[in-house]
Amino acid sequence: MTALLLARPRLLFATILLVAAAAAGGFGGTFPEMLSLPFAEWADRADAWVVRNRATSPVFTGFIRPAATAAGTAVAAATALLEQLGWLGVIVGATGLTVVAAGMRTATVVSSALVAIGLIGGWDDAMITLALTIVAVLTCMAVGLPLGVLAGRVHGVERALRPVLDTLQIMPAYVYLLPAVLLLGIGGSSAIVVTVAFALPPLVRLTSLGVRDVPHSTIEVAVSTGASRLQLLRTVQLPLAVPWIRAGLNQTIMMALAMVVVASLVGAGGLGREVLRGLQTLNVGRALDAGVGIVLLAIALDRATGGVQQERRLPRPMRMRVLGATGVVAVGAAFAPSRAFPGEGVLSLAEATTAAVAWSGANLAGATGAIADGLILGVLDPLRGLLTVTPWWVLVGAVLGLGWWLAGERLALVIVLASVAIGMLGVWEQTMDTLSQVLVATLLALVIAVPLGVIASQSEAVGRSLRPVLDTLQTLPAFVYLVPAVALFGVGRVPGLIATVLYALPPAVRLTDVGIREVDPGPLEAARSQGATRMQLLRTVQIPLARPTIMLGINQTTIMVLAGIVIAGLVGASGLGIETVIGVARGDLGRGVTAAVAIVLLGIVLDRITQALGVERSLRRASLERERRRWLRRTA
Amino acid sequence: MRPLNSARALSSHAGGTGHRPARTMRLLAVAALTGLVLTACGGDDSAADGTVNIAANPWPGSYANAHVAAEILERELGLQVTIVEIDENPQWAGLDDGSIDAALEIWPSGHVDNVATYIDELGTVEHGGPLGVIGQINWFVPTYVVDANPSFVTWEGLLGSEDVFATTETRTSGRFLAADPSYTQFDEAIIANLGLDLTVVQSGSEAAQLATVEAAIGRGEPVLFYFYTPHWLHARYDLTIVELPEWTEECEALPASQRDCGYPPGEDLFKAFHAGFAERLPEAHAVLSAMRLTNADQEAITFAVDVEGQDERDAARAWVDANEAVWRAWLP
Repeated sequence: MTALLLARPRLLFATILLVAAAAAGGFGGTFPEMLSLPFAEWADRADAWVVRNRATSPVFTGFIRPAATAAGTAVAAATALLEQLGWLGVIVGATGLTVVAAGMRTATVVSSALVAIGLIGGWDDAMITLALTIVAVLTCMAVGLPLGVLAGRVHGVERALRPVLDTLQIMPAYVYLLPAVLLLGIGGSSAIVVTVAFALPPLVRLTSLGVRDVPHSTIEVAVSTGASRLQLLRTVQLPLAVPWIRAGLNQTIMMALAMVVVASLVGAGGLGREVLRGLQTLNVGRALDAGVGIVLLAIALDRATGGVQQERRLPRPMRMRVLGATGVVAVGAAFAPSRAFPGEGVLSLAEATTAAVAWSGANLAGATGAIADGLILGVLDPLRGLLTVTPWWVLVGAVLGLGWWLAGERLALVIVLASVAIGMLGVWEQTMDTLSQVLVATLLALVIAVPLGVIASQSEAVGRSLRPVLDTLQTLPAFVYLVPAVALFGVGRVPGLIATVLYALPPAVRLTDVGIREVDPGPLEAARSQGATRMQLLRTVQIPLARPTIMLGINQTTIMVLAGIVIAGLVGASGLGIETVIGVARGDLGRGVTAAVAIVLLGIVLDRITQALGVERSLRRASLERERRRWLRRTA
Repeated sequence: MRPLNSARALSSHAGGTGHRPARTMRLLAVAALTGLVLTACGGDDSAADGTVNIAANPWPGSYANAHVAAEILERELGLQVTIVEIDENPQWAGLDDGSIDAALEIWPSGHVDNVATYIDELGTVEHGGPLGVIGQINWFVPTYVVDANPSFVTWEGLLGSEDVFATTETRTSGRFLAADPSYTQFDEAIIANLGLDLTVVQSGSEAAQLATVEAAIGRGEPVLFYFYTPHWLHARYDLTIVELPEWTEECEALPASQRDCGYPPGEDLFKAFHAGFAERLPEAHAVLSAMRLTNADQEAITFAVDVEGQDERDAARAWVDANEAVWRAWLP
């Protein structure tokens, strides 16, 4: 045992740290109070400083303020432009640009989505959301592309950025609001900043990957012809990285759109605010209309940016003509007298939905009550009890062992450091409460998602009909799920749990499906030729070979579940979520920031463990390879 | 994406010279779009000058005030009003930097620190005078609960019988249903310091709290919750206050976690303005300074919205139409 530890300095350090922390509390059940940090106090002090120096400190007057003002002005200008164009101008403009950039088929999807937004009745709100998204994405490009290129070329930059990007990607959207409120207060500029921060990582990461991914032989050829570094970048690395950058941009747009909704909590307007108001007034129809508007906007943006390479583009002179005609018509439409969308609200789902929910509330109360009671008494409470009653160091020790066994001493060290930090923040109990909800929701989501993914992989028809449903589920902001969940299940942990399960289903279904479909045909044929039945094939070849991909889905589902459980604080779920909600809503920053840091730490541990589960110890590949697969799958 | 593609596009393009019409079209389109952006921006600047940003916090009364003010400012002064939906604490940062001009309903008990910082110390926010509405926060139970348990009219009467309010979620202890998390609440501290066996369950929003209360009343179950007046809920159900230890100045001065008294009696709700508002829009500032509503006004408007399902703006407009004599006096 000693020899084993001595040969592994990180594991040794982790063990010593854990034992020392446990000993400081006399090996008691709860985290030793003497180790706790007055973290909340620090955050409150920082808040007080910001409040008093926002108007005078050069940090604010020289940098943050001007940046915020610029962002606010840009949003106002973009909104005014879209407003000036009117519905006709926007639809014609978007369609024309998509015809030019992608092709006719994509343009049809884009224009139909936009028309549908108008018919549902959310045109004006959708334009505000679109303006916010456009400004955020442009800012992301201005910051993210140079940063990505730099990281792709300079190894040190990449190494320094990676942990930052990793953390940013695990952080639930809601948590971003706290520092933004602290530094910028409330409003459009704050919304832009949080959106950019949230949506930036994929663009940086994929640009950097794309630049690094260029084969050495290609670079050597270019260098041997005498290309300078700059020429190399411009003529070889960047053009070859375009598909990667495009994928990154597409991801960034989707994430920006998702964040714009959450940002409504700090003052962003548009569809997000409608969803939020729907939640605040328990108006399911209102929330759903706005939610569907967001999905349609997402479809339009996704196709317009992601469909670029798939279609055969029009010949160049033709494209120019379309572009010119589009410009002329759009500008003409901008000066058209009628502004209202014709038939606005015809397709609104609000009344039907509200009626359906009212009916369910009246008639299903017994059933939903029984489900809620069952979940609380049968699953949530026992698990929470187990996690809180077990002495913290026993729990951490067990997870440490698991981490070491799964992925080696580095993971073991991360687990111990994160756990001790959570304990020092003084929120161990709330963290265990949240963890119990995360575990139950993840388990429920997987029990539904993995079989669904297997079925989808076996039948083309099921797969195809499932895809739009999954797209919708994934794009619908988590808020939207909360509204009917509260209407049916009341307040507490259960509505959050149910909303979260729905919200987090898609990646696991999708990656199970993709993983099984893309299994190497070689072993499959071999098994088939030996007369294996379909079930046998599935059990002995396809699922085992698809395991890494399926585990990747589990990893993403877990991270989404964490984000969902945090937002569930808005409907009264106990744990870290409600603490951050109170932090944002009641301006109690110390409390909120403490919980937010704990959420990020919990997220890092969950992410690392589920990632480790997906990678066979003996088959661990270079991190570049793993990362690339992760992103390819995510965009699949 | 275009710049990255341009290397390839240009090289494929270099060979031919036959695309003149296309280039003209492109120039035309660029020129047209530029013109459009300029007009759009110009339009925005002139609008920004006359826009009044009024905060609305997530409770019905606050929305009623904001919409009444918006209706009058737009109708009488021809100003554009934006209603900024925001929680009561974060709104101070907006009042501080001017992204919010006015907040019309501030409950003093929850904002002692904010008043000290922004109004007294920094001077970036101006005290806007009383709104006229008197607010009161209390613990409530439906009256049938008191009929069955007469001792429940005070907190001492709850001691030992808290389990009457138990739910699956809270097990053996009683459930205390909290309000929207953004509201001023000291219940966790009050419960702990009075030694009550109650568990605070958060509602997330007022609507969710109301739905929970109404569901409980519908089933005739006991429910104990944070609530306030003025609110239409009192017109709809018979509710009784559970008296807490009397509020005192000393108790108010204690740190929040040591609080062991109830909420202050009859709070005089007040307005707050961004310090630069009076200079930027003096007339609007004068109207909002003079604005006074009564509890009955607010109850009437919020009842129309939340119970009768009227649009918030329509309900405010109806009040403005019916009470011209009242608001004429606010005009400068």
